[in-house]
Amino acid sequence: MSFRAGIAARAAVPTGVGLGLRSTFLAEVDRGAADGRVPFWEISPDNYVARGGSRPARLARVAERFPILSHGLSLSLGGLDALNDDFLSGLRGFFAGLQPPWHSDHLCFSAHDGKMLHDLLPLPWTTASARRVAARVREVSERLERPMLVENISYYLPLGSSPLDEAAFVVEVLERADCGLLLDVNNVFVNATNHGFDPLAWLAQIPLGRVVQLHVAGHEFWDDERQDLIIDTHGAPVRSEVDALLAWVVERTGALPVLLERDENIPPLAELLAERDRVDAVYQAALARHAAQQATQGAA
Amino acid sequence: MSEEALIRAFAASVIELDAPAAVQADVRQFFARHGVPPEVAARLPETAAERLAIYRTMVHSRLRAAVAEFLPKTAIRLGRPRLRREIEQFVAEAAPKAPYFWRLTGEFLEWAGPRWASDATLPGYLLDLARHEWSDAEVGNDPAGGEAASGKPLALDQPVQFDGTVRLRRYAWAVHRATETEAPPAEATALLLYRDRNDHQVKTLELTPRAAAVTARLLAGEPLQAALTDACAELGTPLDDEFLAAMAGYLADLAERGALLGAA
Ligand SMILES: [Fe+2]
Repeated sequence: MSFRAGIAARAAVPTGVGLGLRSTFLAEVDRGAADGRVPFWEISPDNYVARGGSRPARLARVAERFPILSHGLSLSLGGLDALNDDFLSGLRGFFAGLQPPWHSDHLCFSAHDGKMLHDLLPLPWTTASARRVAARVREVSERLERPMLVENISYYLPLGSSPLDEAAFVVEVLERADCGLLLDVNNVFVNATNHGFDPLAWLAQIPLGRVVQLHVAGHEFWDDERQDLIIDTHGAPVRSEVDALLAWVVERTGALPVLLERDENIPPLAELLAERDRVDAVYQAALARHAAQQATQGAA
Repeated sequence: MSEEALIRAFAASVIELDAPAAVQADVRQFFARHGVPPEVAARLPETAAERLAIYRTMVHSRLRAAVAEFLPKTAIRLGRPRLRREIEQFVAEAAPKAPYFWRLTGEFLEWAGPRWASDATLPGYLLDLARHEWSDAEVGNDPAGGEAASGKPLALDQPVQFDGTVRLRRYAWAVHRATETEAPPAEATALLLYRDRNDHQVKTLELTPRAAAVTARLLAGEPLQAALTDACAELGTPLDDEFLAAMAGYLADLAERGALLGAA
């Protein structure tokens, strides 16, 4: 089954601008503070698997009222270590209850030599590397019995000779693994700014038919004085340049789930909901342009 | 293969203790030393050394921040520079293993325990304090807990069934009375911790020596009567009516709290 057919065979996929379900406001959401305001929540199963207490209990209640998307950080899809069997079976068991339409993780390595580094570390953009990662993505997808999406990361040290090598690498993984792309347009913007390339030239290389979900986020300078490197901290509101990339994609793809990521300096829920509404206006306007284009094409 | 060597070298720059100096001195040689072919290393950008240092800082600061968040009082006593060195050493020698970020403080303490216990420059109570601070998250997030009760009443010839989160912790210091700055009194302390099955909050009970002795035996699976007898023998106290009444009250309290579920 192709990745598209795999996704279509699952329960209805939410669209619109959702939020990450963070522990700082999980209790509020559980009490209904965001009911009717968010089309879905994205969670990281790494924070729930093999864990008891209030979190899983609250998540179970939230999942009764909202669609849940699953996005992890710890599979180390590009790592050299063997895949973690216990973790994969933990994830599979967790998904049996939650039934998210897919699982996603990053095109990176995060563990090495048995050491879990808890960060998204960059991979070399070579065909050999793409082949190895794609085989692991396929294996994960089979073992989780679920379609997989891979996410493009922010990188601060390119391990290839041209920035466009990264897009080619991403495409090669997508095709060899026959998986979907969780396209993080903030990461595209961060990389384009840090490494000096045109984000639209990068996006033009990506087969948009593979894009299943989007991430948008804010970012910050590593050194406020030097301002020569921005870091994908998910610690600030989304900038207009990132809004523009979101709109560019949605105009071409139509409705998708878009996640507004916020992991640092997390504001009160009400403020985050207001930021969500602002991003949603960008999304809805792009969606309207997409519909208008479809109508024009249909009439022509 | 050069792509695998690149990953190895990158990881080494984050993990190895002497990496910062080696990367700073000659980043291309650092890559070469980890098996990256010279022509591949030569293509690394000018900023490579600086960027590797940034990655290293990001990884280590994230780990350090998590440890400081779970062990706030311990972190104050260690101070930032010492905690930074501890994390560097931890990453180089052991590192987190679990894919679950929240568990890393427990992994760190397992590694730090023997080191701190034999380090005379640290306060003697520090390890006890750290373990006590961590126990809140450990019990609060324990995958066990909330088990169904056997439905059998306590019986003298039977072991008992506790909620899966119940822990008995013994310390040489009254660590639960430590403040941000004040040292805990040097006082043998036994704490019983469990997670409330209704509100999921971690509850801590300070136990008397005899309640602790009985609890330790019950947790080890001894039948109730043997636990009571052996505890009295250990403490050199008579197994009299006063003792039995006190223990009956203690066990009834645990049952009411949902920490003790009945006979196993
Ligand atoms: Fe992202």
